[in-house]
Amino acid sequence: MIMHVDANSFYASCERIFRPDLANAPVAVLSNNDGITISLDSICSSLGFKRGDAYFQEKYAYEAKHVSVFSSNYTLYADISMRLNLLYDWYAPETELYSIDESFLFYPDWTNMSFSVLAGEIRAEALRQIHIPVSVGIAPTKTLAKLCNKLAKKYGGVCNWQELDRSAVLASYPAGDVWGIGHSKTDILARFGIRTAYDLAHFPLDKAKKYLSVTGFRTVQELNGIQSPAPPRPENRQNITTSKSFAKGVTNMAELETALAEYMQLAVSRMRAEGSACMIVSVNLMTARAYCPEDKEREYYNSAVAALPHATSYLPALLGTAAKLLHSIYRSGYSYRKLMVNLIGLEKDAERQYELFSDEGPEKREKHRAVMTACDSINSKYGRGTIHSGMRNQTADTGKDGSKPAWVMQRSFLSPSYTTRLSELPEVS
Amino acid sequence: MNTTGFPSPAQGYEEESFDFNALLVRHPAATFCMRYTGADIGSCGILHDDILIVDCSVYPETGKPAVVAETDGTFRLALLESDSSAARFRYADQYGTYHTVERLFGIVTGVVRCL
Repeated sequence: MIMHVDANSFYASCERIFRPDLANAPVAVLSNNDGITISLDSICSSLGFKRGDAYFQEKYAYEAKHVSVFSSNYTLYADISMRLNLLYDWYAPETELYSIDESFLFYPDWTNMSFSVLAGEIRAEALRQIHIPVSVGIAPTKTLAKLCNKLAKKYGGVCNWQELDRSAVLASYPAGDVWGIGHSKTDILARFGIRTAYDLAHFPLDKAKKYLSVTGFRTVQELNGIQSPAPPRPENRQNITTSKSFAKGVTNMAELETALAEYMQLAVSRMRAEGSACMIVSVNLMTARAYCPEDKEREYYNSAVAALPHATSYLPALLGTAAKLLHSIYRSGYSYRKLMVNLIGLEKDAERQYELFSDEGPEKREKHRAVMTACDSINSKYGRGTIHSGMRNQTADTGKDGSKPAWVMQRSFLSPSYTTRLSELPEVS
Repeated sequence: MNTTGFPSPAQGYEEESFDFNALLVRHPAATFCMRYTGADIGSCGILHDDILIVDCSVYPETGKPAVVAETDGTFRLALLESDSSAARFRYADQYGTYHTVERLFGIVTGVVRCL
């Protein structure tokens, strides 16, 4: 069985953790440079605001309706995301951090247990321990688990596929909303008269493969409860995560660096393929049972986040930053089981002409090692202007159209780095 | 997992300084640091300007110092006492007036202070 756990209005919920005054108030979070609204809570949506609204257009409406507006504080969101995933690790034999606010929890051999009860417990503990509301979809495949999660609000936060009237649910679910299908494929589906998830589940597999490519083929299988080895990918994401549990414990830095270089290259090539750039890099490192360890001496968990001065897709800069983060959290003497790399705050890459680094070629590992050494001069965990050296070769240049790079992001409504800076801790009186 | 590069001759002999997190943070997912801005409370050893280690996974108990969220939107340090209805907790403010704990943030499990 698979659970899909999704943090509700994640960025907005994060902004509420240390603001008890906003517990029942509308909250909206803006994108980099305060451009558009990227996250709003349910109260805010009920007032008629939408994701994607341009801030300058809605500014006065927000004020009139007393909406608390925040610039995106990715350092905070990344920290809270890591906490949620530590909690999930405690509740599932295997987890996959899918995005900053979504995770899959895998229960491969668990049969005689009530997943709905377990999901209810995960919800309660996420709220109690991390103060973040989450909802849970439970199903035999990832696609169905995601679908169930979309329905979870109607079912009190937990939706279990096994307990649903399945045909009726699929018949009332638009095919275009199915994970991996996307609205680009709805035209093709319409030609075959496919409007709902039910129609899609009954689409003959040979046609699915022919007209929807292998991704669509897998989606159809997943809708029928057959787990696919390579799950579909969404079209627009706000972050990219690569993580892996090591088969054997890894103890030395050289191996961790190699793994880091591999994950980072994978993440960056995915990001570049989507034409995106990112601002924030985070690295997580943990031993097998870092959460509630029985033997504290042997268990360790840590994470670090860095904010780059502006969004980039330049691998050396990102990898150098990640390497520095890894060095800052590494402690010798532990046997590590998991390394995780997050690229957060994705936006359209305005500088794609800088194809400075080829992702292919036999000497790539050599380059990675060289890059990691060269970036040693980056000297701080928590960004804001301290990471220039890693960025120099890119940001020192002027754009082809003569434009100067934007050094300083506009973040007028940025909340404090509550969890990552001693000078900005929340206050208790 | 394949190893690349030359292994350091010092490998396995590195000694790092101890980590205070290991001592102070029992549940990393649920532990937040907060700054205490109120008056000194000698009875539980919490002084003005201390950094509080607040563990939100620990269950409340009578006698424990806790951080509670008040209706005015501020966080307050509260020494938990059992309420007449046993399911709830209450605490006294600086004037001795009792309040029922409506929203518990977490339990204070440690203090960091530089002298």
